[in-house]
Amino acid sequence: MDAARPRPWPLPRPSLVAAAVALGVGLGLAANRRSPAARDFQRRYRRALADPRLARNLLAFQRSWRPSRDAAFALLAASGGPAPNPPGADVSADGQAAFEALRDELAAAKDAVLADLPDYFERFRAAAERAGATVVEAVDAEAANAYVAALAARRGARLVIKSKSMVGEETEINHYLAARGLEVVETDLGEWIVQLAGERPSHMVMPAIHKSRQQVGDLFTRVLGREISRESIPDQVKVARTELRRKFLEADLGISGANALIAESGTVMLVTNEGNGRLVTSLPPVHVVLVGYEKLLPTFADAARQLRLLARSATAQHLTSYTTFITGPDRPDKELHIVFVDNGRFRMRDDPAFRPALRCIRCAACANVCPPYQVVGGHVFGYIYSGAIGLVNTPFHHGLAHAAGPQSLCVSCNACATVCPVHIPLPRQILAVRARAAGAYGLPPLKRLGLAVWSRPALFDAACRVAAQLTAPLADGPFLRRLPLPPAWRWRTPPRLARRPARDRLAGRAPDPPRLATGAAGRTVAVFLQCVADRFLPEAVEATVRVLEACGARVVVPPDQPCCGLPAIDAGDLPTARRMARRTIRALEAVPADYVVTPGASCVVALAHEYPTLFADDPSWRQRAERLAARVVDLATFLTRVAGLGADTVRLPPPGDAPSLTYHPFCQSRNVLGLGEAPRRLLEDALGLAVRDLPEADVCCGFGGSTSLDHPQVACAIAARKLANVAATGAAVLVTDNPGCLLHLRGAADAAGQPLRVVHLAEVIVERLAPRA
Amino acid sequence: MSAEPPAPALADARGTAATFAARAASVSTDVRQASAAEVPALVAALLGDAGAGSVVVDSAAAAAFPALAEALRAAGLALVAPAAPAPLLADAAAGVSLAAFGIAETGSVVLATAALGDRLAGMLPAEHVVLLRAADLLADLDAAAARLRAWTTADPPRPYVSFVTGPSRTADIERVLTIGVQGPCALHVVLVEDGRC
Repeated sequence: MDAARPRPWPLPRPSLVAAAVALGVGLGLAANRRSPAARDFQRRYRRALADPRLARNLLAFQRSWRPSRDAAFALLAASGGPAPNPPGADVSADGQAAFEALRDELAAAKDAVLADLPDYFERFRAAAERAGATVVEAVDAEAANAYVAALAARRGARLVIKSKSMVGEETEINHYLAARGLEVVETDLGEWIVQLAGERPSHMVMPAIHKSRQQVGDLFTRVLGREISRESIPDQVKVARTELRRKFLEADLGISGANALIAESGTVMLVTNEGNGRLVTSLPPVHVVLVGYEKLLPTFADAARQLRLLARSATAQHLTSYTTFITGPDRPDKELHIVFVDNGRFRMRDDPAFRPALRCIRCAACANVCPPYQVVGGHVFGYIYSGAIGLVNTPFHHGLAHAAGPQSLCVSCNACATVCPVHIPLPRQILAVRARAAGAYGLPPLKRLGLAVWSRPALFDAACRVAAQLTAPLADGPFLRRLPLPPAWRWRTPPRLARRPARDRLAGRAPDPPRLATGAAGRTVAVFLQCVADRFLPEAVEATVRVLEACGARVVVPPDQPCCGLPAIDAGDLPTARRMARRTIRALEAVPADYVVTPGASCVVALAHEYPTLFADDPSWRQRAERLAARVVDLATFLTRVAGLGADTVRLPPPGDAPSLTYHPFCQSRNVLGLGEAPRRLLEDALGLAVRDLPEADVCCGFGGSTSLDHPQVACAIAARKLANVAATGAAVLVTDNPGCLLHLRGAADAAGQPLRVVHLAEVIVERLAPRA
Repeated sequence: MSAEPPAPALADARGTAATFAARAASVSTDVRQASAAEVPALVAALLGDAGAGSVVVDSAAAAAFPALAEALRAAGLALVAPAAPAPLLADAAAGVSLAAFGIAETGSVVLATAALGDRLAGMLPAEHVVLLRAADLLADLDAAAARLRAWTTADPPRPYVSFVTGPSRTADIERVLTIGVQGPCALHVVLVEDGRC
């Protein structure tokens, strides 16, 4: 990516340090590369990164999908009647509200089915058999494929046509039937393209979205042996119509998936856009439906809910072109076989952490908002199922080994959770997969070493102080500019360790006088330093303290603060995470304070959202975690809700000549803490600063905790996307609320030579509230 | 014109038809309005102008509009019976179907005839005309779901029902919307309003 262009090398001779770093990183990340699944993942990963068109194709796709999807939900909000929205109505907020209400309803319907799955299956089976269908259960992929192969043999079938089926991909039925002499033809355009290319779908809804029209034109020309346009998509689509027409008319057997199975009537619901699904299910004398149990829905009313959510979430349509309801065979000489595939689904159902993933309706919205998916595509971000859901269900359908590599790409931005139409807690489930992978395969040695130091406060403190001294000669401003790095890491200038961490600066410091009469007056606030800010950004910590004092709060800094444990949670090392969490809870309990505020929004997520889950099975610590969580608040929320900044009472006059600003919200601040526009409104309303609109503000910066260490090229590409958006605003200053984002973007901008000041929210606020003389 | 405000039911019906027309148009459906008497000539004009060769009229449309076949023949179009073999139906340039009902919320027409040939009339030809009586318009998917529930839990159930919402389409290449893949490349819906004022 552009941000990775090499910079002048300060140390010309090959450096021992560089070699040592490269060796260490290589060794550190080498774990889990030994299994065939891991080697397969590495091969796919390298191939994806070597294809510059892939990320470009997917960036264009994600940028066009998001606004269309949002508009489709805004229309849903307006679809209560023919009346248009009143002028000035906030259709996006209405759309979000409509989405939230509808997804709660559908999730509840799905949960009801999952709670009584055998019962709903029997209801469906009875109704479908009454209508003349044959309903069978297959315990695994082999059983499902064998049933279809035997059926095809009994009917003397030679040509099989398929409508898109993810379960068919899961069981790899094409391969199975082809090995038994059958010709299997995919009829969905995207599926046909990937079949001709000898690939797998890279996306559950748009299987060939990783390919450009030029690549499709090349493929068609090569496979069909005649010249096909590289530029005209309509021409390419026409090719599919011409080539597949004969197959439809001659096929002996049709295979489809199902989008829902309606228990009250034994109905198979199928949604398609191209019209191939109706032909596959109508023309051949035998129709096989390959489906997972999780597609069961109680009633048609629930199916209507799913329809309203599915097309909007998948393709930003209000409904797909064809929605078909099949109840039994449609003619006396037709056979309809509905094959329910277990293949790990019942194990998933019996696992409380993963049961909600069976609500999935395969819309792929989780892929469409996923920053690492945009960089590597669905052949890497997932296994056969791609996107966030693929990281979650692969362990059950295809084994943990196939999920271990892909899950390491998740940046935990939580964007998937915000668009999932059935409210699956995908980020938490991905972390659970990560923990299982860590348990099964161990952590890479480098990560283990890092956590061993990080989780021991005294050792960590000593290590940071020694490292700060040792690296001081390599420092230049806020950067370790002269630290030699291997090429894959040069896209981000590393930050320097502060010689005096925030804990030293704050010790024995006299508090600032209050500057404003705010709602925070007289409140006691414990400041949690956040280890990254403490060591790398002490000025942000100090700014946080001074802002709180300017608002009249009494600030206390609990001594000997440890790290909250987020690095261990992020690594999937839950025993270490619990140890670190207990220590943090003890340290913060020791200080009586009304609130705990921190410059690290990521710590707020850990303290307030992760801790209660970490101690789910430990009632006494869970209670302590929840008591702490109730006091923890991020800086922006404290200033707006507690201090009342931005309300009519507390406003500052507009500044004279402020530099142009834009705001990057930490992804979890929006997606987990639900801050929305609050930090930006704080800057604009309370401080009178003009904040420029940042395109794709919602998209993560790519730091992603250790992800940017595990997958530097991916993090680099996501940072480049963010910095390109920042550059488009023309702003001179980028403000953000999380030290991870700040250091990541500051370093990436520096390495790319992009002139940009990246500062913490508290630093901007303190400059306005309590400027130093 | 009456000084009285229109009865709520009528206003609803008008609103429903307007919503249907707007939503259908938004997905590239060509929406026309006609009285029952005007239907044969309108369909003949739609297909005759397009230069369609042969046309397959599903049995429900043929029964509801007996004058349709003659109007199509008069426009120089050949008729293929729905019972003809599928390859013949595939060669037809256009199909004409009668919708069981329509859904205003989504601009969909609902095809519910069981016979294969009747269904293929709306699947194989490149052009599809669907006749929809305005009185058969339902407001939304919830109403459609209630109708489907009744149909599919009856004995025997209606085996094959499709909501058709615009012509066949794909966005599988570069997410660029392209009309006309395996199904009809054009969809005309004639909203049949008896006694239009």
